[in-house]
Amino acid sequence: MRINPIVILLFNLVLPISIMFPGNAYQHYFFLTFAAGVLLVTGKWGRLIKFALAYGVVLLLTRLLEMLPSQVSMIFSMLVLISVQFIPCLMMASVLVLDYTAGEIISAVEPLRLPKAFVVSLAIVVRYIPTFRKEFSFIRESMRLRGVPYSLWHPVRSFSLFLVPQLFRCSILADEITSAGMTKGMTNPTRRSSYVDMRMRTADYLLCAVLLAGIGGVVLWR
Amino acid sequence: MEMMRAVDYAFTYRGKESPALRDVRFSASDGEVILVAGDSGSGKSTFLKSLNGLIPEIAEGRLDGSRLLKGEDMDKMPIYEISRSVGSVFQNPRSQFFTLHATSELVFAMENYGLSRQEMESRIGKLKAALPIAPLLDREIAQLSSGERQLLALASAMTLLPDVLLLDEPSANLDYSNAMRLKEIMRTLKGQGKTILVADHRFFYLNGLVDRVFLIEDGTLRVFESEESFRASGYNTRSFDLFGMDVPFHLHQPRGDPVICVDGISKWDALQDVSLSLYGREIAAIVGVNGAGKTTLARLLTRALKPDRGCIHGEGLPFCVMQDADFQLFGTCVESELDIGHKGLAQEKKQGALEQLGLWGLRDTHPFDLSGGEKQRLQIAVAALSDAKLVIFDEPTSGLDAKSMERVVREVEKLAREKAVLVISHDYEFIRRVADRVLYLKDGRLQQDFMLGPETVGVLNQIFVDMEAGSG
Repeated sequence: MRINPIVILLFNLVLPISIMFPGNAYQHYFFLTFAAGVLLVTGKWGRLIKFALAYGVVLLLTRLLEMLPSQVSMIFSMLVLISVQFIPCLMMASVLVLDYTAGEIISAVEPLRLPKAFVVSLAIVVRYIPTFRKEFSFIRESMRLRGVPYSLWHPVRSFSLFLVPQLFRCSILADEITSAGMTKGMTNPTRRSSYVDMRMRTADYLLCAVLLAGIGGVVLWR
Repeated sequence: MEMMRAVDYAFTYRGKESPALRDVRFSASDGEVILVAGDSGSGKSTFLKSLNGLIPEIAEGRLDGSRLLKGEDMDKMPIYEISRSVGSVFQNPRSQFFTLHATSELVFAMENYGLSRQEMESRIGKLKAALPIAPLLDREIAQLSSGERQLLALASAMTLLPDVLLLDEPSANLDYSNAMRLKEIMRTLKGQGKTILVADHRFFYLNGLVDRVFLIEDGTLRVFESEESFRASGYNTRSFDLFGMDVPFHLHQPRGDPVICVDGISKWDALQDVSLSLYGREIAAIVGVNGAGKTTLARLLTRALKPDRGCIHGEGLPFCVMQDADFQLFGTCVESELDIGHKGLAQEKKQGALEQLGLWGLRDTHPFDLSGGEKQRLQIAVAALSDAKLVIFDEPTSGLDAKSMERVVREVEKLAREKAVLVISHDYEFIRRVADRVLYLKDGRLQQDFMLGPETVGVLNQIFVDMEAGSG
């Protein structure tokens, strides 16, 4: 099933905000089930399994931390707790970034009449994330061959070496991507059309309703 | 019919005293193919950006004179109006796509202009008839080969039915066969009455297709009325006629000891049972079409991949000079770049290496403030000082003019006095000048392995003919 990109955008906005407002004990499980449900209905089984494994690992960590002295475990449990809370957000973000194109997102927000500059920046951000992953692998490979491999044992050195090329690449890529968009009429004020059908379907409304009802149930009702 | 005209056009970037382009006067008509030639840094990109409206849209500065598009003053047109008539194909295959999917890229511009789905489908249908893009549709752009990406870039530039097409170094990432295919596509477009301006350093694939040549030197434009008059001008061009070029062969040095031995390696479907040894003081060039297994072999040699079968013997890791230097420079200045991964390097050694490559004067400059050529020389300096016995160059001459290519030949030769060098290249001229030995990969197998000299140049030429035919 294909969910309307504007619904996915909405989910990506609502989920992280709701998580900031601690609700009742079921809040986390609701968001987790909801995000897993979205992955399921969009047919992303493989990704769901990966997230489930990651979730399992984090959960295991929580149990292990309980065995440590309380002063030590306090610091780490906080980190782990935050990671657990964020997994549903990451699941939603993965749908937005990996399954929707920049063009679809621009078309989806068209009816909202947002300023063009905002829409263009949003599209460039979404477009940049997958490129970043590729660039990261190039830089890592090059560090390995220079005899300074990216390693968690040398986090500061690794990060500082990695950051220099990454920052410069960012600025070059942003320029190039902007040029590509500009020469393809991205700034044209005409109402944008879409090759893919952008109409909201019953399923889209239904998903929104489930999310809103859920938020009502777990955040507002205690 | 006149499509474009410039009258005394000049452009000065903001903050600069002298103009990047000045006194530009030309006119271009429909059905014309115009080669835009000029050394790196001469003002070619500024020229193309002036024609597609990116100047002054994203590059600020002072405009003088006038540019006309189909008789209309371009200064008064917003960029989205210019883009309706002027399609641009950029050089970099990574960043010229706005989406990550071939079909959505193809429709992206049409969506921006609010075309109906029906109209979009009809235009894609027509494009499919004109260009071999049918197999690309519905695929992820990351999975396309460089030739396919170039084709997609061209097709997406054409969806708005522009009268003028600007191509910026389209051959830089294409192998010989794809470059020859591009020639045929350009011939078709010329037949349809499109005005094509193509900026490139390699001309062989344009042989016999070019109507006029615009040579940009130091920011001024000289118009040659024919390909012949340009050839006769004495400008140090790269070859129009590859196989007819007359340059001395590389003088072989006595081969050193083997530095790496590859014994019957296979990897996925990309490489099958390849065996070879690389020797010190020898420059070997790997040739083959895109997808023949060249990159896989290089990644196996650098141990980024493990072979499925067979093994590789050799001490230490090779050094790889990547095509894109930006990924490889980590230092805060040119001199400190040499220290990375190589602490305690003697000052004299660093000075010697930088002086040899003309970088000593720039020792306090940040690597990212260097020009493309200087960055590459810095990579070579790092390679020369590294402990690696083998240095791999990935397409070192992609997008280089004749003078810069000759400079790279000299630098590779110097490096080969102490190390083994393996060059991955599509560039016939470069291979012809620099290689001691040629390795031809086809369908993942090592088809030929021979020393290059007057007796074997026919074999090399035959390989290039074979690569062109093989692309179908």
